[in-house]
Amino acid sequence: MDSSGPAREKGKAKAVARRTRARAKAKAKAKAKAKDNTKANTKAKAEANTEAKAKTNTEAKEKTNTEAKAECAPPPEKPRVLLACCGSICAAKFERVCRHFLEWAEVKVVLTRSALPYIGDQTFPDDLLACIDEHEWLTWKQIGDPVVHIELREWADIMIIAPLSLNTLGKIAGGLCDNLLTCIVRAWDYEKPFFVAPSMESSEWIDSLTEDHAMAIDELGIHLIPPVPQRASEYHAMAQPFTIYSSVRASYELKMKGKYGQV
Amino acid sequence: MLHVELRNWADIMVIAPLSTNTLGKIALGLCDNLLTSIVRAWDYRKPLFVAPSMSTCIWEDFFTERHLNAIDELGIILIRPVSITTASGEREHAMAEPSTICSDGVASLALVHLYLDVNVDAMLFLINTHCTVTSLGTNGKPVSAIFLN
Repeated sequence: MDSSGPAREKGKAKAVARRTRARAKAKAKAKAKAKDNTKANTKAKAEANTEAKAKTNTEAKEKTNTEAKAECAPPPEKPRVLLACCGSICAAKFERVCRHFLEWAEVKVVLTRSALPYIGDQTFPDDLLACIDEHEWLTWKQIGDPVVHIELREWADIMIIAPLSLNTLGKIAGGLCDNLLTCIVRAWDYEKPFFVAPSMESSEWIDSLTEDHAMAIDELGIHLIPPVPQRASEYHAMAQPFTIYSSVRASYELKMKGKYGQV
Repeated sequence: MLHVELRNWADIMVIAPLSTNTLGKIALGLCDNLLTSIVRAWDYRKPLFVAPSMSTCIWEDFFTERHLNAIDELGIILIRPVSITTASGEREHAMAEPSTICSDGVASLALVHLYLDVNVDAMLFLINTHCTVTSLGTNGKPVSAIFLN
């Protein structure tokens, strides 16, 4: 017990240092973007004539500019939610998660490679844009081209990983970023809310490594929506889609209320 | 899931050889393939042995030391690699001989682990008989890892 005390304190100090560095980096990036505004706008306008994605980017940037100009303006009509899915049995519920959020927010989807087999036969709304690892590498050709995980990070107001697999939990806790999803997580601005809904075997949920990882992501500022034990099988299933949706919405609206007062 | 079925089926698990990459993944709790998923789900009331194999410079590396400490804390039993020099003059810590991995010593330790896991004295007796505690890394700091000779 005595020995763990200073270790935890060191951990917290490191976490604080990490956050400070992250914020410093974010500020630097913001400055860089401000400088490149003219170039970016020109490119965006040119691309808008040919590609729908470019239009999306243009709209996003225009909104950002508008918000920047008038800081007292109310928040956008619809929050922008980035939904992510990992390879897990509960990925079968991902479509329901998407539908719940589509009623309330603009949604974009990120899928890991191992998630694809689980959701391959689900039917998603036609206007839902899904990103996979290949998009990161195919769209970037030279310096100045948009980086997908940074674009998504800037676009989103909220991020939710549902379900979160054991492997991705370990990677987030360790700071690894070897695919699109973990790159976005690694780059995430923790002033914006971030939720994860894990799904795993019961034996894995009670494991000491899982406890360490859960503590690590809690220190990062990620909100964990606990899994639900299933009596019929030894499995801790992802929380129900409606539970995830209502938790996230309540948390977000509470934050907005605190930020803008009673509008 | 296949990895859960294998976990439930097995009484003993042996990884031989264990690569540096898999050692790191086990230590960090990653599970991105079938093998590491089984390890991640493993019930440590059953014995898990690993027999690493890597070059000497990696074996003496800082990260390797941390990873070995981590798997020792998890309860994984290490079968010590053998230091050799290859024909081309490179130093390697090669996997222990297959006969060593399958030896009576390992079997005895596995039996103790299986049937007498509460009897710490018997466990310690067999550990002291068949194993040694060895220092790792350039700092010479002792590591409480269990090595089978």
